[in-house]
Amino acid sequence: MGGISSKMFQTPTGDVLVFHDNASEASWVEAKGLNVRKFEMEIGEDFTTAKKYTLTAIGADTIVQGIVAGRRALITTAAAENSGLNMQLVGTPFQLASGKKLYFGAKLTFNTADGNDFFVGLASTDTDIIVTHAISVAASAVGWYALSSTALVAYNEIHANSVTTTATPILDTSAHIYEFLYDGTNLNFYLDHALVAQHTTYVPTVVMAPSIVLQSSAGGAAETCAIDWMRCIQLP
Amino acid sequence: MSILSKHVNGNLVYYDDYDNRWVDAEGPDVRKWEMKIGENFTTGARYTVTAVNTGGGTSTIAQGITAGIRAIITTDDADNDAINAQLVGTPFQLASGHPLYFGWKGTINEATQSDLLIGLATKDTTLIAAHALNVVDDGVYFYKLDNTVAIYGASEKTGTVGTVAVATSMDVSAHIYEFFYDGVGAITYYFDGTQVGQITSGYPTVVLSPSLFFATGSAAVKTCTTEWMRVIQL
Repeated sequence: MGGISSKMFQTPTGDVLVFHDNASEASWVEAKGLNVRKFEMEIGEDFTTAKKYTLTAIGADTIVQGIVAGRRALITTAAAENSGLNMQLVGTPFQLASGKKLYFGAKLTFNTADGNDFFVGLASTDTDIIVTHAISVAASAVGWYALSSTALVAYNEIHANSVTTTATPILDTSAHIYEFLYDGTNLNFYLDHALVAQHTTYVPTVVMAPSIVLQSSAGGAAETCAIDWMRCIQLP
Repeated sequence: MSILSKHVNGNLVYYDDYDNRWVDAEGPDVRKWEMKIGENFTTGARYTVTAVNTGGGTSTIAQGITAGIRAIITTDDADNDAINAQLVGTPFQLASGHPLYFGWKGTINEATQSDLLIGLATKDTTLIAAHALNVVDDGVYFYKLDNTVAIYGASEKTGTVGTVAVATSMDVSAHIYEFFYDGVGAITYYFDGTQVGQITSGYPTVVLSPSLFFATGSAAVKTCTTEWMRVIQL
């Protein structure tokens, strides 16, 4: 970990101070400004009342607050193929818009490298973002996924029109940081702070919610995803 | 009383009055929690709340009504009636190289006939029982017990408690209770910003939860108010 630095962005409604990881200027940690929009999964998060998150479980799948120190949440699927949890923040508070930079990031650890299907990022309201090992977004999404394989894919979609880039390295059981930065025009995807791809087409324009999905793959084992942190920051 | 900032382990830490009174921190992997204004104490989604009610009413913890108070515990009216509240999950753990700050500003309305514990502890629904420490395993905390005004800073590992005594006696004014783990091997305790002692061995290494316990020590309703409570770990 390289620590933290800050820089000032000029926006149409005033300056915004953005703190970023020293490892990458695209890895935003916090922003201060009058019209900044930001979301961060909290320590001690409310996963039970549906007031903060819309949870859709296929089987006996759960999400709980972090038990291991430093982890904000742990998703555990039932031991059945395609069983899993689709979770979205209530509301759709983010929308990519020209000139308005937006950061999304999550630090995740999976218990198997190819035993699950997962998606993390922003998506329009949708209770089944993944169906039978395939992305099934109803409207629009942008983020990262893997589908029963170790191939990590940076992806964005508007109504079934999508752009994908497969990252290197592949998924394993270590913690990794999945991020994208919308620079006001294009989507830039980062894996562990390294730029993987820039996507310039099918950039969603509808309102979206921070989302994460974990499902068990064909093996039908109980899969887990630990969330160290997950945050989204948009400048005005 | 001014906010200053510094870099610690590469993270930006805001502090007030003295180096170890941390107010906020920014960093990619900073772990921080603060009791909110408008906190949810009722659904079990944020806090595990255990009430002891042997009197004629109910012990409660509620959002602050008085400005500046984030929570008020009101006990039932029998001896030992209490509220035991812990944040859900166990998000903090003392670990080498990861300094940690805990702070609580609060007030109790009865200095002698009351029990109080604030700090970090393993999961436990009765941190104090029958006016005696009853932390099931581990913790780092401040406490005072019934029938005394003595306040202690404590570090407990598998049931063995080490303490440092606070020179000031408990009263019914607001005070700030803080401890700071340096990430090396020492926990330093502060009362109203004054260092009261340090513990360098026998501190826990298991996962811990922000915890608050308050009980009446007599057959009368007692209250405990929290102005703020926060934990920050790098």
